[in-house]
Amino acid sequence: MDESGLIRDATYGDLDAFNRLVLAYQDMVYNQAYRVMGDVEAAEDATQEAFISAFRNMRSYRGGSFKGWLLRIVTNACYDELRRRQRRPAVPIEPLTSDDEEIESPSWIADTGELPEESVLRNELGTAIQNCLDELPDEFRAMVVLVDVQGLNYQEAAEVIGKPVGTVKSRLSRARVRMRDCLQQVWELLPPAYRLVDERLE
Amino acid sequence: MNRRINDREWQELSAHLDGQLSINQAARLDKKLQESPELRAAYEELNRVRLLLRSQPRLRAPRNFTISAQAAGVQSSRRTRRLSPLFGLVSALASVMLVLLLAGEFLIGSSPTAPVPAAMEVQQEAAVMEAPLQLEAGEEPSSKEIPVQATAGAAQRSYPAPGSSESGVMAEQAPEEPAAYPSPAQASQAGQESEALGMAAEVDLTAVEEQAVSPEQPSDSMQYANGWRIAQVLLLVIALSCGLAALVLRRKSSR
Repeated sequence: MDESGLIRDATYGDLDAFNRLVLAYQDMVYNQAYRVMGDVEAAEDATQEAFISAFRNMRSYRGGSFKGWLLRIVTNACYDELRRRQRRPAVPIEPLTSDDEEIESPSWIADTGELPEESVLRNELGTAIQNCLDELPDEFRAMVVLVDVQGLNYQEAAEVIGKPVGTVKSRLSRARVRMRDCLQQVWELLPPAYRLVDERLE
Repeated sequence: MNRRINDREWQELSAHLDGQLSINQAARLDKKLQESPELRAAYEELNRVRLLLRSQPRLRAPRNFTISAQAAGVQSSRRTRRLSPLFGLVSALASVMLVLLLAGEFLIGSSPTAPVPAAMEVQQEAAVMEAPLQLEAGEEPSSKEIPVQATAGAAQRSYPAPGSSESGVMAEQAPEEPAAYPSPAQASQAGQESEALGMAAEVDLTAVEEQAVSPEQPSDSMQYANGWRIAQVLLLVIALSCGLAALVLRRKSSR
């Protein structure tokens, strides 16, 4: 069955039809949640919450991009969770020294297994990018993920966040500039293709 | 010489990368880029960030996020579970208030539908006027005058006639309580009877008649009675509907 048929059936409460949509979109929704939340467990929770909320609110879907509608729901679920965390900040799990002092960068979390060089590089780069994303304000982070990770155009992104295109332009540009500043320290980790751009500039 | 890039220029550079500038804006920016190495470097850096983000591998969902019927039901029952006790509480409160209202009505013993304190006052005042007149005339009370005497007895309790033993006897003979409150028509009739007895009473009784047939006081008392009944019915409806709602929600959430 085509997507519009599944959406129509789901609107009338057909859970099987909705679950087929879930299977089609779960990677996209999970990616958005992971990039905005920055950790696996919170991303899973936000993804599940978003799909349950989507099913319960299928009747409020008024056509248009179903992908955009789902992204809006998961982004809002992430905002809610982030706001909750700001109100009740969690105590970070940090290992303690023998003097009961926290170790700032716990080496025990790092994967010490031997990995091929490219894989290590990719992991480190991915971690660096995610760290820089995490440092962005929530609205900037959601914007850069919507456009540069999910590949939405400005109009679609504006519909997802419910703001004008001008806001998308402004937030995206500021988010990219901040990402550039943050990533300055890890340019040497870039794959050769990206380094060439750097060398050409120099 | 280092050139500082302002916010507007950053925004233009970023939008240019996504092809979001108009043809004219893009042409102007391209010209600037050719002239300014700093602006060009900034453009390349933004492009690098953009490409880097877009090159990130898409993560696979670590598990399926399909929803079970139970999971969807659990979500709904959370809300209903919260609402059910609320409805129950409202229902219980409405029931208690209804019982208190009914008990109060029973204890006071005044049926709010019965008319009416105003008419009773009229009758009492008429009787106060009647009793001395009868004493003066020295007549035995006739059977026609019984309602007047009855209320006269009641009135005597409120307004004892000084030094009059006969009026005391009459008061004793009179029934303790009237079987029913006299209607305004009866009050009017009583007024007419006493009117025949003397001119002194006539003026006052005319006033009493006016008071008895005055449309304001009976309508006030009717409003009072209606309000009483409406409150009871309203409480009954609230108690029943909230009770039913609590029951339905509880069943839904336990499903």
